Amino acid sequence: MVRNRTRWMLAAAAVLLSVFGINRIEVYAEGEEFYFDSEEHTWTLQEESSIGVHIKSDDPIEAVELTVRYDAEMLEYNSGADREREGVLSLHAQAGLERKFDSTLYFTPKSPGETEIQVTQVTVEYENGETEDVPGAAALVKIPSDGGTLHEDAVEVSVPPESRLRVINAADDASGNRIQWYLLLFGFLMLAVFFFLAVIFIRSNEKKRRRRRRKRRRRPVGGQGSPYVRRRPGNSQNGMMVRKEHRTTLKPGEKVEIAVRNVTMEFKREKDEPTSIKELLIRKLKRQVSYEKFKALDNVSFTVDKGEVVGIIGTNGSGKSTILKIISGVLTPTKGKVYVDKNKIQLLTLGTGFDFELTGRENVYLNGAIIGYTKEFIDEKYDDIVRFAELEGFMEEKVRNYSSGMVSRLGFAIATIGDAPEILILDEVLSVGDMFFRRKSEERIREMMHGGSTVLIVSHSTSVIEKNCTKAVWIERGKLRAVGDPKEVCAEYEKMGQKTAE
Amino acid sequence: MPKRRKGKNIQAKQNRKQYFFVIRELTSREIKRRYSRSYLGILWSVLNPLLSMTVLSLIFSQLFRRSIENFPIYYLTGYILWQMFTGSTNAAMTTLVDNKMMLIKVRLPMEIFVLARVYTALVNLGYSLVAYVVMLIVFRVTPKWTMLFSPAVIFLLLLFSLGISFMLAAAYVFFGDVKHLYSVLLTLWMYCSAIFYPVEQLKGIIRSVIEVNPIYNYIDALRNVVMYGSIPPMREIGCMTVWAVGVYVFGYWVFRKNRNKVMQKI
Repeated sequence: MVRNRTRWMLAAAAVLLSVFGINRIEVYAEGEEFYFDSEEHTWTLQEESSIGVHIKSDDPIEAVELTVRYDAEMLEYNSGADREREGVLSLHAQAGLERKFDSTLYFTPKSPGETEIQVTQVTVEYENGETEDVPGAAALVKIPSDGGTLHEDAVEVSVPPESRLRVINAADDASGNRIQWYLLLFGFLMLAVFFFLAVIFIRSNEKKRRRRRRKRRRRPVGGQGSPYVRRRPGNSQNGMMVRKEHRTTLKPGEKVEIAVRNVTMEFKREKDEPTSIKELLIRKLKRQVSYEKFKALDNVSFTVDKGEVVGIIGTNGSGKSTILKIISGVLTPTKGKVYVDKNKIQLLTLGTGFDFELTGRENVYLNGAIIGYTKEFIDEKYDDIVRFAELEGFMEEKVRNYSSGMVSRLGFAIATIGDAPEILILDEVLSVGDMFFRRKSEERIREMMHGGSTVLIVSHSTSVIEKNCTKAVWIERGKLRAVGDPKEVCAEYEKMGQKTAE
Repeated sequence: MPKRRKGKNIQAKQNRKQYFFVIRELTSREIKRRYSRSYLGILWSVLNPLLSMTVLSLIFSQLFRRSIENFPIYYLTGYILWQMFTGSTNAAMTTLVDNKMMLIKVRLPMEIFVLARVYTALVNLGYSLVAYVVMLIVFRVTPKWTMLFSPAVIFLLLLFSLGISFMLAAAYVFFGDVKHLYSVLLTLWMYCSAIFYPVEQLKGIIRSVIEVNPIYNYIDALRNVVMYGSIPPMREIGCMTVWAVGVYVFGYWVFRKNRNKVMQKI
């Protein structure tokens, strides 16, 4: 946890620093500068002294207009501008499309002391006729009583960038400024994005590290008392005879089609997983993040021989669908291995991924493509599909308008129209449709089974398992509870149900 | 009767054909869905870009008179490439979550969904190219032999978009915020791509950023071959290729690395 905290603080500090850094870079802004300077000028009592007025701009200036105010008591105006009245001068001059404008004003100081010369109301006119007011400046002039050189500070005035924002127009460079603001924000946001992505990666790495740490620390877990049936011939536990299993080979050989070996599936779940970055940050800052390992499957092993029909039974959430996903190769188990030829598998689930905006016909092609049928195959079998699903005349309708039974019938028809796959996995599909369709679908499944396919049926209904299967596997809360004859396993299953009901 | 095992090569070739068939099906679904409730339907694929191009040309030739000759075409060239980029990345970002159900069923790799959405954007680009050609004729742009290089530019942009799409699709599965962040990022990116203003007007640091921006390179290259009839400079070609290949490789790598986590999350 401590390491966590420091990492976060470092990251936050890095972000803040970089934001400031970008700010620094940005400061180059286009604008005008206007300042006084009098560094090389000497102000002497009773002698004509001068002060320079400069205007600097990034754009060529056409003309300049400014007003100068001075203390008439202390200074006597000589020349350099037009005198409006006592204490006020005005200067209007052409800048000749230069980027700077210089002018000198001459005064004769009358009495010693400090006085201020102010420049107010500076208006700058550009080439295209636009004018702009620049805030003025003031220069403090100290007049020594005995004469000497004094330097005044040059006063700089620059036009703040905001006043230069205007609609992007031809023949002026104002667009540059706005773009630069966007650049600043762009840089900042890129950083934010990278920061968040980095957060994601850091999280995932941390989880890996934590998992490795926990693995080393974990002590072997004692038996839970749940009957894990050991597959030894003649062994009977809980009065259940276990079917004699062949000495199982590690890889699918002649007999074994699917071999599930010590499969464990763990999902790293956070308690109340945050769904957004905001929540994630808040949790991290409050240090509320706790990781919980959820074991969907715990050391499950069983085998399926060729031609067998295996039923997997268990209550909801016991891990049945997870084991199916692992067998079909969609998920990778955290531990253990599954040996099966993935090309042979055909998976049939409810919720077949139809797109409701398309017509039935288009969905047949889409679904068929996803299952793995070629276009030619679908063309060939199209009518059979429609006939099996009993949807003649409805195929040009949008699936949105189908009833739920029609949708599942169509899904079933598409999935089973192929030649019997070598391995067929049914995920709770034998309970759809009305009685007649159910009969038809079971008939079709039986057809496929007689074709020599290996079938894996997942269901939570014992009747389905008892009716169809040659072997049953009971998985409860991720643990393998029983393997063997369907009737017996189902009896066990029901017994558990009664026990929990009591 | 159990299926006979096919030879490995035939199997592989069939797999690839199947792969493309699935992509085509997914793409046609996207395209049909886009105009599914409209009367004119598929006609809108060409009509939509054509009308928007007309409107934009009107705006930019009347309201914002610019010192660039043929500004509407200048703008439209950037516009169609930009549309393709944003269309593909935005659509591909949500594809893994949208197709949650199918991810479980499909035996083919997850990339197929991202590829399908990017391919859809490419097809839409194809339709807008029809409208674009109409605009070229209207604005009397003479056909030049350099125009034959445009597919190369588009292909490189496609690679670039694919790379970014892979990264976004994986990120979106874990955090929905990525969608909003990305849309803001795109707005800024658009301003930095010199789509509707000439880059010559700017100088300094923004100018260099724009010139580094990969999207600007693609747009500029296409403008060069279509409008000015010149092959883009080597530096630009190099930039385009490096960005395309680099981003694609990186994005694909990120995608593959996180595949298992995506499956778990979904």
